[in-house]
Amino acid sequence: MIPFLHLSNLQKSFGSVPVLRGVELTLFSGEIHGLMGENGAGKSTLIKILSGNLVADSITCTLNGESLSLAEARQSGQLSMRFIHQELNSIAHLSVAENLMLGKQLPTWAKIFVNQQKLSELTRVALAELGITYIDPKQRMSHLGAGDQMLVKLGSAFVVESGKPAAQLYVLDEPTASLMPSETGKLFAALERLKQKGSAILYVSHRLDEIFQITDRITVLQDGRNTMAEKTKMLKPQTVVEAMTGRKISQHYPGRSDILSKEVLLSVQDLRNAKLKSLNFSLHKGEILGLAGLGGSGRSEVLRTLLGIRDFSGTLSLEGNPWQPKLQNFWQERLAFIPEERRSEGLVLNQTVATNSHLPFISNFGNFLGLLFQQKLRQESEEAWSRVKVQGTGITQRIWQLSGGNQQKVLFARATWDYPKLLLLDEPTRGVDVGAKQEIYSLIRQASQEGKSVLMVSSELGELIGLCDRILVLRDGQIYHELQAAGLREADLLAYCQGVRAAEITE
Amino acid sequence: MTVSLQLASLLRRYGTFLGFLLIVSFFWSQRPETFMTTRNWLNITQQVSILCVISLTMTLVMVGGDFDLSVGSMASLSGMIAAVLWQQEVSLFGALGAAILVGGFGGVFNGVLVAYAGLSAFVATLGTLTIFSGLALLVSDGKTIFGRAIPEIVGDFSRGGISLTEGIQLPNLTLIAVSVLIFMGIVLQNTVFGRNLHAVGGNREASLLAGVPVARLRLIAFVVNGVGAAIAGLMLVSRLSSANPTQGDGLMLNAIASVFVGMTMSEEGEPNLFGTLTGVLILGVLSNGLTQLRIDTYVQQILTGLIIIAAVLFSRLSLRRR
Repeated sequence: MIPFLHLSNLQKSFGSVPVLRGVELTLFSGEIHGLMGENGAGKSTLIKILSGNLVADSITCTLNGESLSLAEARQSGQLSMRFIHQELNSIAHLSVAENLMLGKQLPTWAKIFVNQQKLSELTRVALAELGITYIDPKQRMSHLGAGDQMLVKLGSAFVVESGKPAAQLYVLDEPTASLMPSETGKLFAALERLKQKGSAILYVSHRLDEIFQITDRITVLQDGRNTMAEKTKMLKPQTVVEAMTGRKISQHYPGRSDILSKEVLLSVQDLRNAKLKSLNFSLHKGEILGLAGLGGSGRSEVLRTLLGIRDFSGTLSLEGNPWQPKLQNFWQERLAFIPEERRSEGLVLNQTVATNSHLPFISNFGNFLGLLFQQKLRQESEEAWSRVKVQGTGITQRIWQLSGGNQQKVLFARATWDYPKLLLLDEPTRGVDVGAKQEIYSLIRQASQEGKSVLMVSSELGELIGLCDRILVLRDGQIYHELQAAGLREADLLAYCQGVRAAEITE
Repeated sequence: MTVSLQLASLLRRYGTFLGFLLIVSFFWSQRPETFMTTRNWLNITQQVSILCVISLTMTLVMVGGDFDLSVGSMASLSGMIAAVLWQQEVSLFGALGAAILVGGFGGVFNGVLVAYAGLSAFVATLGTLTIFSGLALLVSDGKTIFGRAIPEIVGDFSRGGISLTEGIQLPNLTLIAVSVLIFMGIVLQNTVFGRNLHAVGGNREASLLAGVPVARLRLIAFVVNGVGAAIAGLMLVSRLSSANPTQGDGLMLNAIASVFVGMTMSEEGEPNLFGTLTGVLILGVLSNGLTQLRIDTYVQQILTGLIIIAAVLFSRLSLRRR
């Protein structure tokens, strides 16, 4: 059987960081193909190369056995694709039909006036593909619930545009992330119909159960390489998980301290808010506590609540005293936070390293008139620079010129400057190269050895296991498991996060 | 960095300043006897001093990531208030103080709307622009106040200065502008407030998460700007020896234009005082030189607009990074 689309020797680097190192992907018509991998394995890069948002460094491509470049295939119309992304980007004040047709040619009268009737008709047909008949195309998007909005976005992939070739390949990137089970069912039924019509479908998901339910073939990426490409019916969930996590030989985690303090720094009782359901946990002095879970499980929400930017109910205490987190007081209480989105939430990109490394503490360097002791700030910044081993030209360098890893180190310098009691870390090594990762691990470990407590969220399970003393597994805003990190297997932790029952893991 | 890249980045940063020098040399060549003289330059500094004050405090607001459309009508209003009070026989300094207080309150009003109520700076200050304008017309009953009502010393102030040599003096208005420049320089570069405001303008979200009191800083910037507008309004009254309810209105566009031109001169495209000063001088020199060449003020306006667009366009074209 000749594959519909065959990509091989696919390579892509960002700067000096390779993301895809010779990946192969084979898609057949009339098949649903699952693409799996941990965060950072290279799935999104692969999809962006397919869609043309990124250009591969090298790639070999054949379409129906004929070799040609991806760009040629797209432009000539021989490869017509539809993409569905996980984010819900709808325009609330436009109608359902207008949202569905966004970026597509609208049907017109005399090429000028929008043909509303035709527009509604096209929308109705596309939604019917998903088995939806109850949504009025003329309704405003904002009147729909989140699930229905997502279904409308899905529907946009099924629009038949006049004069355009029908899509042969559908690419879905975690489409079920914000869907209810019944909505997921509708989507799967629609995919099944597309498959029967002979379309190829590339389905990206973290959810093993879905992948096994609907796919015919699975490709697994790990660290930018293929670790599996096999028919689904030949596979067991456990083997797929092994292929996703693997054992990363290059990763060494600094040894953990064997004596844990009995003293509790932070205790959380019955913490609830819109996204969290009755959390209870405590964090000891010098402990590194990990929060694991899939996206949307409430991991980051815990950190944001402790930061004081979420409403909540429940009892918190810090060093034995009742505590009400407030963002204004957060840093002055010697608590520290490193956000998930380094560039948008952490750094002031057009400012110097010195400013960024002391952003919460600039007022500590002022006299009673508010005049700045520049010399003192410079000295402290120099000290911070060498403490976290930033590689760059100096503290007056603008922070955007540094690599992601070095930017992250500057954030660590900020977080550890005032001898914090508690560090809240959200994805501390996201988008950071391997070398810098190693150094950040040492910094986290060092902080814990100095008696600082660390609460960290990470999607890299190996990192959680290697660094943490204990790991809490969250799902739907609840703590499902409390695990000792020592000796835990990555595959098992992943299974816990995905909600596979304990019995299946020990099998 | 290769040599050509370095050249490009130099051109980008100093292109505007180069343009300024070109404009100066053009007028110099056209009017060799009158343009490049100490007297004319002191004259130019006096002509731009009012715009300069307002542009400098506007720079502060824009460093914090906001802007303020109401400065022109605030300048009109504060000048009008002082004049009306003088008419009512209020003391010289009493009226000056009241005018500056009004500027400060206007700034508080803007700042609260933008930083605390969360309105966009555009909408909020467009609203206050109209309010201040209406107030100026209301307190003056739409009339111009001039002549005896304005204390003589007010008009004399703008004609006076510190004598340098015989017949040449450093004008008082220029001195005020220089003092404001020095003050703003210290505030922006050497104070906790200034450095934090840079951070707020650079990334509000990150500043907030770092515990920087974002709303308070933005409010203070608006207050300083309101006071700056009031001072400019008073300088205008002194210069014209009269007060008219719309005489400051034109300052707003020129002030924002100066800051924009100045933004092309910083490494990161952020508002900065040296750049703003250059922007102000470009506008001032153009107006002075074109007048000497007897070119119509209407044409002057067109040229000014073109030069602002050219400066920003040029810096954008050579800005290719990130």
